[in-house]
Amino acid sequence: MNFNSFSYILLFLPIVFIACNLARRLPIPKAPQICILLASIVFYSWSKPSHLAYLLGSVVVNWQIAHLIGDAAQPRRKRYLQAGLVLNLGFLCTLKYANFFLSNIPYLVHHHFQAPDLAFPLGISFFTLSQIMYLVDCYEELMPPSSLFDHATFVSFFPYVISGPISRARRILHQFPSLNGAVGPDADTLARAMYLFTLGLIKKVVFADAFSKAADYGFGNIANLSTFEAWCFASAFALQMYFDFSGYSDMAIASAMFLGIEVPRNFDGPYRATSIIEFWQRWHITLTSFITTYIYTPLLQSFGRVTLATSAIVTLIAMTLAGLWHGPNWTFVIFGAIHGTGLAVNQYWRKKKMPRMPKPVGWLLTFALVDIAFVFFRSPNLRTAGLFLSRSFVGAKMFGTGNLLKMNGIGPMLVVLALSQVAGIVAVSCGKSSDQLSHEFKPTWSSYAATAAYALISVLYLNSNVAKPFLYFAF
Amino acid sequence: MTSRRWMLLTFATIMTVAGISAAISYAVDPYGLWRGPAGRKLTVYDFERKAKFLLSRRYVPANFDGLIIGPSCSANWDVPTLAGARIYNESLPGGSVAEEQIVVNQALPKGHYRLVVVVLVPTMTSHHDVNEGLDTTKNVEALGSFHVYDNEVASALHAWHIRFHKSNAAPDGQVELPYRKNLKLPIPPNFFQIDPVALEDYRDLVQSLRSRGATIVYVVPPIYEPILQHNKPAFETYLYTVRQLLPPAPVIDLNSAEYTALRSDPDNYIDSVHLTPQGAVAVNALLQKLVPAAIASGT
Repeated sequence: MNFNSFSYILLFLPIVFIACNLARRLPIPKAPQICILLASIVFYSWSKPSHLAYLLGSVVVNWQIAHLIGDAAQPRRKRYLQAGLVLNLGFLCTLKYANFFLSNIPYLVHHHFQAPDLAFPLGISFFTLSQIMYLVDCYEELMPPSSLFDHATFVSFFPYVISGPISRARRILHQFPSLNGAVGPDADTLARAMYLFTLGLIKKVVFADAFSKAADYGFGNIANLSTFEAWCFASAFALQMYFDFSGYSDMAIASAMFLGIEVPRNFDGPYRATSIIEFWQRWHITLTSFITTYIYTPLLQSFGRVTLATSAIVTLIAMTLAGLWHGPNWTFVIFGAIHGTGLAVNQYWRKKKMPRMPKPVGWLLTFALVDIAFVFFRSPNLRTAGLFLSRSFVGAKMFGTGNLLKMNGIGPMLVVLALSQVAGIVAVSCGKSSDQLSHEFKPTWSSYAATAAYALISVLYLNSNVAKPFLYFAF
Repeated sequence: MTSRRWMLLTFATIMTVAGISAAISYAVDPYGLWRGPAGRKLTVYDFERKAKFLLSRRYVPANFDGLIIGPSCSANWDVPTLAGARIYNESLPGGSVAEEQIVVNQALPKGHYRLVVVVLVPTMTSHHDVNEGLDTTKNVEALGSFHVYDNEVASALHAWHIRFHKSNAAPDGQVELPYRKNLKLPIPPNFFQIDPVALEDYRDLVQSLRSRGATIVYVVPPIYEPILQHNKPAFETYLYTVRQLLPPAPVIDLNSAEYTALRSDPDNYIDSVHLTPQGAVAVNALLQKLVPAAIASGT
C-alpha cells in the first residue's frame, strides 16, 4: 500500500487512528499497541502476504539473539552478536544480492552460476538495518532486550517498515508507554501531523512525479542530448529523488505522529548544502547516522591509528557499502564510491585547512557531484551511465534545448507538468525544509489555506492517475 | 485559532471543495458513466485516450453496434453507419494495438457489435507501449481530474462559441487531426517492425470480437502515392505477414491500383499517412460502398 494512495489516506490511516484512540478506552493492557501491530501486519502484507513470513522470522530470530546477548557474559556475548550480524547480513545477501554476486563470478572463474530467483521482501534493506542496530545497542548495553511484543511492534511499525526513516529501537521503544496511555496525541500534534502529511503528499504527487516525467524522457533519449540538456535531465532526476524520498519520509513521520510516535527526521534541505559533507548531514539522515555509527566508526577504530589516509579509505569503503545497500548493481556501487571519494576529498580539504570556497562555488560543485552520482543511480547499467556522462561533457550540441521542449509531451499536461517543475525548483531553492516548516507550524489562517490547497491539488493529481510508486520501494 | 478549530476547518474545506467538484462532474457526466448514456451525444475536446476509454464503458455500448479500430490514420474517418451498423471510431492518435485492446475491452462486456473495421497499418503493431496510464484508468477519475476539468471547461467555452484549437472527438469518436501539412515526411526506419507482443494482442483482439459475433473487415488505409511507391515492397511484405498471422477476414486494400487517383492527390493528405478532411470524405464514401460488398463476398 502506498502512502500516496486513496486507500491509505482515506481508509487505512483514519481507521488505524480511530481504532487506536478507541483502544485507549478499553480495559485491555497495551490495546493501542496491539492495534498498531495488527495494522502494521496488514499494511506489510497488503501487496504480498507471503513476504510477511520473512519479516516475522527476522523479528523472532533477532529478539531471541538479543535475549541471548542480554543473558550471557563475555566472551559468549560477543559470539552471539557476531552470529546475529552474520545471520542478518546473510539474510539480506541471500535474498537481495545472491544473483549479483553469482553473476560476477564468471569474470573470475569462467563458469556461469545462477541462483533461483528468490523473493525480495519489501523493506528488507530497511528492517535488517534496524535489527542490526538493535543487536549492537543491546550488546553495548545501551538498552535492555525488549519483549517480543515490543520488538515486533518496533520493527514492523507501518510508517517506516518499507522505506524508513531507519529508526533505532531505543528511540522508539521508550515511547510505547505513552502510546498505551489513556490520552492520545494532543490537538497541536495532530494539526502539525496533518500539515506535514500534506507537505509530503504534494512533494510526492506534484513535484516528484513531474520531475520523473522529465528524467524519464532524458534517460530515454540519451543519444541526442546536448551538454546543457544532459545536466538539466540529471538535475531533474536529482530533484525527483529528493521530492520522492523526502515526501515519503514526511508522510511516514506524519503518520507516526498521528499515533503519538515520534520517528527521526530524514531530510533537511539537502540541496542547500555547500559541501558534500554537509549534503550527507542533510540527505537520508538516518542512513548517514547508521553508516557513521555502525560502519565508519568501528572500521576506523579497527585501523588503530587514525590518519587522514585511513579515514579516507574507511570513508570510501563505508560509502561504497552504502551504495551497494541500495541494490545489487554496479551502478549503485559506483554511486557510493563517488560519494565516498567526494567525502574523502572534502575531509582532506578541511583538515589541511585549505582556503574556503565561496559558497556559490561550493554549492555548484556539490550539486554537480550529486548529479553525476545520481546518473549512475538512475542508469540500468554502467554503459548507459557512461553514455549519459559523455553527453554531459561532450553533448551532441552545447546548448540545444529541443529535448527540454519535448520532455513534458503535448497538450494541457505540458502546462501542468511545466508549472509543477517550476514550482518544485522554487520550493527547493527558496523554501524551508518540511522539517523546519513543521516545527514552525502554527494554526493560522495562512497555514489553513496552504494545507487545504496542498491537499486539494494533491488529490487532483492523484485522481488524474499520474502518480507513480515511490522510488525507494525498490530497495 | 486553536489547533482543534484549525483541523476541523481544514478538513471541512477539503471535503467541501472536493465534494462540490465531484458533484459538478457527476452532473455534467462528460463520459456517460453516471447517468443513462443511451441517446446522448458526447463530444470530448482533449485527452482522447482517457476519454475513449471511459466512453467505452457505457456510452459506446449503449449507442453503437459497430467499431473502427485503428491508429491516428483512421481517427478522422467519419462513417456514422456502415452496412447498417452504427459506428463508433475507437481509433487513438498515436495508438498501438495494446492501447486499442484496452479501450475496446471496456466496450465489450455491455455491448454487442455487428461490424468491426480493423485497420491494418504498421504503426499498430510496431510496439505495445501503453501511454497516459490507460491501463490503470478508473471510473472515479471522471469525478475530478485534469482530463475531466479540461473537457468541462472546453465544453462550456464551446457552448459560448469560443473554441480553442484542439483535437475534438465527435459523438461518434471521429477526431479532428491537427493540420500540419508535410508531404515530404519520410517513413521512419522502424515503421515496419513487428512487435510479437503487439501482434499477439492484435490476434487476441480480433478473435475476441469475432467470438462475440462481430463481422470483421480489415481495411488497409491509403498511403500517399509517392511514399507508397518508395516503400512498396516493405508495405507488401508487412501486409502479407500480418494477414498470415491474423484470423482470416475480408480485406479492403486501399493501396491497390484502382485507388491510385485518391492516393495521388496531395490535397487528400496532411502527410504520408494522415488524410485531410477532403481525403477522409473520399475514404468514407469508398467504405460505404466497399464494406457491404466485402461482407457479402467474404473476401
